Amino acid sequence: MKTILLDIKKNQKISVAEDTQFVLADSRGFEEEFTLNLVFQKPGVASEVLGIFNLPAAEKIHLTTSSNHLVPGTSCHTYIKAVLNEKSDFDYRGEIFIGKKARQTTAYLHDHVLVAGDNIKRNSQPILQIETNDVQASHGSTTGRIDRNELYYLESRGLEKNKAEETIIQGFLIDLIKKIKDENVKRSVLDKLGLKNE
Amino acid sequence: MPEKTFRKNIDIRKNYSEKFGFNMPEEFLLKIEKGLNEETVKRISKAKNEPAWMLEFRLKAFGFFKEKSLPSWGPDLSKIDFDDIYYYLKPVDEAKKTWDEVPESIKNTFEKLGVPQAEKEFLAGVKAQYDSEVAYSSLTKELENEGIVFLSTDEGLRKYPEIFEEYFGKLVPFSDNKFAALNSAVWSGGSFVYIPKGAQVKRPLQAYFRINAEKMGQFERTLIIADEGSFTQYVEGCTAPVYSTDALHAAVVEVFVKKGARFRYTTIQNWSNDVYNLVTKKAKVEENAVMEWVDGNLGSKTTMKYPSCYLVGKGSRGEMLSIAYASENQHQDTGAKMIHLAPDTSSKIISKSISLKGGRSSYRGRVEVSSEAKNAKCRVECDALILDEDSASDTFPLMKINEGSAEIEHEATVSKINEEKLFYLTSRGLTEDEAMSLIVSGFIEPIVKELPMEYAIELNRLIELEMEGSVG
Repeated sequence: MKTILLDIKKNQKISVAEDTQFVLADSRGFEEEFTLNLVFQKPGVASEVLGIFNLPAAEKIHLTTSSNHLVPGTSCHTYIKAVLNEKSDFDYRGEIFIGKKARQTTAYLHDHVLVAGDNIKRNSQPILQIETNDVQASHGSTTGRIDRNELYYLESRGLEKNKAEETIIQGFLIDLIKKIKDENVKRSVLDKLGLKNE
Repeated sequence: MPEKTFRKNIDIRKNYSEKFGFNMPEEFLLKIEKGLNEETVKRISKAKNEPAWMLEFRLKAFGFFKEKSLPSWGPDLSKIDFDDIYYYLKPVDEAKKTWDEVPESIKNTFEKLGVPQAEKEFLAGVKAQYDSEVAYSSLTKELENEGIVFLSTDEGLRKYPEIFEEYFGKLVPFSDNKFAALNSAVWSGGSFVYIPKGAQVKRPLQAYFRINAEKMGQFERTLIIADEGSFTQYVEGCTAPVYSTDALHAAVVEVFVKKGARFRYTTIQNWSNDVYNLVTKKAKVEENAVMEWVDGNLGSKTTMKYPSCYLVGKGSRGEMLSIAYASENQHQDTGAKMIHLAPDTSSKIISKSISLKGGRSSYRGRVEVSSEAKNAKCRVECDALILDEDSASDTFPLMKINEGSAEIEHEATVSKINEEKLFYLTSRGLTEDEAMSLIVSGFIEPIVKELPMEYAIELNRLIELEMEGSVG
């Protein structure tokens, strides 16, 4: 499976012709809405979308991902993780469309937000449209604050509050970074997010 | 291979026309001719002898209805011909207090539905809506003694005008949507319920709705006020005879749940396959109060229904349990809205849908957390089962969160019948039909067990019967 780090500047419509991992990562907001539209027209193609964001105070991301399965046997697993700091705004719409002929499609979508500041805004719109029965499809979306128990544990071990929070945020994001198969891409993502390689 | 055949036969509404699709000769005192204009609205109001403010409300709503276009999203509603519908029928002149006074033909309808028996055995009060007006009503002594009011909305308006002025149309204003406006303009019948402070209503209050006249739109309007600390279950079930032309059902339900009260509103909707069922239901939930919607949608051609809870009081809770069953030519577009407006509010939505024989079921939901709603919690689960390759399912949730302390979870899965489960059950000696029926029953069980007993039994029996029928 090849890995592509996508440029978030302009909307992308991609017909997925071979097994591919698409990576989106940023530690800044987007100036404009960004849409990634994947179309599956070649049977048997597998793909993964990883969206990893650490959104600084008062910045905004408006993101749409869409996977359109039109032929049998394709798969797309979408994982989105975002950390929201003070007054940041994350608006995500994740679409999965499985057409009549797209038997044996597997499509999953996970959208998780970790809230690290106050006065945030978060919209989540995971959409499934499924026209046939021999498929596996699901989506999950969660939004939650940094777990007080985890924070307490780390602080009791001697970490300062800031450091403890940082550790939890890293742990939250690293999970997806580990899924990146290409080492060069992984390094650029760590750089972009200001995280250290373990 | 019988795979195709047995799947075709899973239709829990298969014998609908024999079971419920009868059509009694119509008997009306007043039937206003088809079509909708200002004159119709005025005549309805006049026939009901309503206060002036209600007529004014109706006319304003009608104005809004004319202006507003059909929704640009969701199922296709373009086939509804608003000029080809009767907006008002009045079968008998007054609500009857005793069973003996009810006209014979109407009585027969109820006999077929089993209302009197059910009443004797289980129900605290029966409000049966036959066409537009309540034809039969009774309240047991027990309820009256406790000060519980359970009337048709028309009677309620006559007897408690001050309550109506305070609450009517306040939660669902006519400007809410096109069909709420239509209902506001031509509403007729429905239930008015007032539960006094602290009253604990042990047995469910039940209303039974029916449409019996061809091309008859039914626009019932229900207003419920559950006062502080009260506890009530309200049950509404629908069956309608089969007709070839499309009928329209556009109801509005408003529920006010006061501080510390708990109210459960259960609906089983089993309209015939030519009915458009477009319903607006809202509940306002105050401090530490609980509102629960239990909603089963089996019938109709197209249903659009998204009951909502406005959680305005600290610590209030909203729940929605929903089953949708979409078979041939059916589109069930249902869901729920949970609007968190106060601290420590919580909500839960569980939605299960089954699509078969080319039917389509859609979940459409909305969860909002305002910046006032500190520590809000919400959990949404949507499971869809698609039984054959011609059927479809959608999930359209929206979560709008404006407060960082919220904990919001949403989960949806879509699947077909698990072949392994099917194999296991058939290897144990069940026929494929029985196995399918068992799996489907298991799938909806978490909601069925929340239904009042007679409904749960009826629903389970329907599913079993229809699935067994295909063994040959």
